[in-house]
Amino acid sequence: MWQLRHPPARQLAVKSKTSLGLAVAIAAITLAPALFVAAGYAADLPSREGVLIIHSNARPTPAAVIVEDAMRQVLANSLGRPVEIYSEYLDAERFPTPGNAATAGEYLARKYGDRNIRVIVASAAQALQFAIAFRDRISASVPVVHVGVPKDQLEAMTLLPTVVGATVDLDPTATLRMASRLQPDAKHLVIALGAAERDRAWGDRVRSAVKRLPADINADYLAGLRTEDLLQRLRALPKNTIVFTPGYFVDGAGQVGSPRQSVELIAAASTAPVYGALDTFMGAGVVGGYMTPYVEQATRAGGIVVKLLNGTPPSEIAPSSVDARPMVDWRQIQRWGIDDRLLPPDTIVQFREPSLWARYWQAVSIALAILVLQAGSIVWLLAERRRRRLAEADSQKRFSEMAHMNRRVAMGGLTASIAHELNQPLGAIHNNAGAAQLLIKADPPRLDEVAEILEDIKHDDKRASEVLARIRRMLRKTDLEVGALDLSDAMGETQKLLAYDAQTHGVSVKVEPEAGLPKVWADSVQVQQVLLNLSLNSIEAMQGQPPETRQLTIRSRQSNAKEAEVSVIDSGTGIPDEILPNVFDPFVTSKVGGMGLGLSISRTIVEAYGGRMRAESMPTGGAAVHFTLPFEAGRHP
Amino acid sequence: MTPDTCCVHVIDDDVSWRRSVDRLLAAAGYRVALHESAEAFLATAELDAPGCILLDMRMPGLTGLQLQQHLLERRQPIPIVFISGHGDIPSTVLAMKSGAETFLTKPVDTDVLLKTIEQAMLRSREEHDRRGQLDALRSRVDSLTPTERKVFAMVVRGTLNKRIAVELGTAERTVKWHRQHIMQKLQAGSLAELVSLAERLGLVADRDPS
Repeated sequence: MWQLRHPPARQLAVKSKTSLGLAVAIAAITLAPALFVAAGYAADLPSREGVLIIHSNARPTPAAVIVEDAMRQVLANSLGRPVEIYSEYLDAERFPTPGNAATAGEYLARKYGDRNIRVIVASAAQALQFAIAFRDRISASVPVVHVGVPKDQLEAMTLLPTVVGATVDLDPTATLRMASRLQPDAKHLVIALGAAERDRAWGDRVRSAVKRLPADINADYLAGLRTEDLLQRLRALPKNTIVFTPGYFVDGAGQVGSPRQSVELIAAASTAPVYGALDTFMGAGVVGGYMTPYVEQATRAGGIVVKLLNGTPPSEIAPSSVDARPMVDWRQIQRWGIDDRLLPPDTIVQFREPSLWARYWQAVSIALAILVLQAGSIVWLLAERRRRRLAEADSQKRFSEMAHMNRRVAMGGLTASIAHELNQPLGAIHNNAGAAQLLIKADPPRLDEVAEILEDIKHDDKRASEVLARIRRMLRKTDLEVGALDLSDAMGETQKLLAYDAQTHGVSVKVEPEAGLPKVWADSVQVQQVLLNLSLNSIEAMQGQPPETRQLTIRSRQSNAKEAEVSVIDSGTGIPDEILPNVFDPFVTSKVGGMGLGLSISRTIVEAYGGRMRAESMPTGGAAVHFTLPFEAGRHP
Repeated sequence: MTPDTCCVHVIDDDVSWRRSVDRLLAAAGYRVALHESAEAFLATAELDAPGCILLDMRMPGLTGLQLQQHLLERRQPIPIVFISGHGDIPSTVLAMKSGAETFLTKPVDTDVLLKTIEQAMLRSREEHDRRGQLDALRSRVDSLTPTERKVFAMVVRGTLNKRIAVELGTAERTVKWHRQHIMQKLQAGSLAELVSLAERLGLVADRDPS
């Protein structure tokens, strides 16, 4: 906008010559309102109503802060018009002499001479004394409102009629009584005091209070010690001691702090529970005590200030007194193992950790509900899984029983073969034994021949045992023994089982295992069972054929990288087209009197290993059933 | 193997069994010939000698029953003792009907086996002797002239000399001369002996089925 008011050419010329002046002008324009406002505010202050808060101590202690904040809050809320609040700190502990007070008075009189101070608030006794002495210098006949001044000290002062306030009763009797009630076995009382004027007042208060305590409690006053020495003493206390302290500003070495700081040190060092005098000690490590809440004192004082500012004469304002209340720090109650039933009924319990429930009951209930739902669903799922497992186990058991039955049926059909297989070696043994008897009776006995015979008997006995073992394996009902299996072994065993039956049925059996075929992962008996089922089917299927053409071939080959394929091929009439699609279903059979379970069970067995089974009619006549089994090496793809 | 050597033929496809039977029978004093199949037996065995067969019922190739039928067809009267790992009634019946010596089941009691073999061998020897006698007789009959044979045939049927003479168109005296020759050639001392001889040779039955 500024640029638009000037021709561009000229602007360039001016700018190059006067750019510094321009910047100054802009700064002036920008800052002028702020300066003017600040000057206006400051200029306005002398006429504005002012409240001067004078603190006895050097800096904002917790109590001072409470007084300031409460005062400001009450004035802001109740007065309805702006009021200027000033704060001054006398540092009376370090500058206790009347000369210092006079200098401070002089200074404050000058500082606030042009201000409209309507009320002076004196925080603690020294400030009140100061205010009474110098108020007229600051603002003639200005009312003084005191706060935090102990009743006993107030009573010792000569008060002007314009001085009102909220007094506080610092009598430690109630606190000490409470302490002896909370620690019924404590007979020793330790009072930790500082080295300043304030502490002497406390010493008097405690002494008079101790007199009112049961006579068997003896008190020990640790007053005016160096902080380190005091703490040293406190560290050696038996647990059944009562420690009381009002805190101190100045220790025996002249070190200045705040009462709360001193209490923190005392409570940390003490090996016995510590009781305090002021509510600002709460949280500093004290168990508690009868305390006047500072906020309340300050709020009462604030109320008096408001009344004064609103024109109520000081004489019409009744002095206010705030009662001390029992307060405890729940953490300390816990720490010292104090029975909380001994607490006075109206005790204000602070720092009680609200239970998780009280603090987050909504979140906790939702979380609990979720947990319950989750747990419920987990339980339900587990139950379901268990049920499924049981069902699976049950169905597996049933299948296992059916497979066993199937083997028994198949083996039952081989009874003649089995008898033959067994009777061959048994017959040979018998003959050999007979021969041996004759040879022994011979004169001379032909013992070398007997030795040969015994060798043969052993051999035949082994052979009979093998036959029995083979049969028992097939008939056993034990668990599967799934492992690496050489298919040629299973095929050979099957051939042995079948041999006699095949011969009886005029069928010649050829077993053609592929050389070097890797082992498969399966149970030997189940594989033999499958081969036996398929072979017996085939043998039966060929009975209508001329004997010389009855040929059964059991062949194995590598189907792919992961599987071997076994084929059982016959030279029968093939599988009728109408049952070919359902040939593996149970109860589907082309045999008269057949249950049709053999193929179904066989397929189930093969599929349990992840294999497949298919049947086909060969173009050359006859049927072929092929099944695959996974190689051992490839069983975990 | 000489014709007069007695021999037990063991035909079985099971080598252990064959060996054990061989041992047992040899220890009992028999001569044993082992054959792993019926075909091998037929190819090598000398069947004219007395002996018996210990025959397995079921074998690859020719079965025991088939071998029995085969031998019957060849009119080989060698006693057969059937033996089986497992006998079933139909094949047992069939074997016995076809003249099997007996039927045993493995394992066979040693005494039973030896007794059976002994009996079979005895029968075989008797049969062999009988056949030997018959053969001798037959060769004697063969030594008769055609005319003598005609006369012999008629004599054993009880035809009178006169009638024979009429039949042959010769004199009764010639017939008598022929009869004498016949008696001499056939070593018969009487007509009764001659008739019995003809019966043994089956000549009577053959010529006159009534």
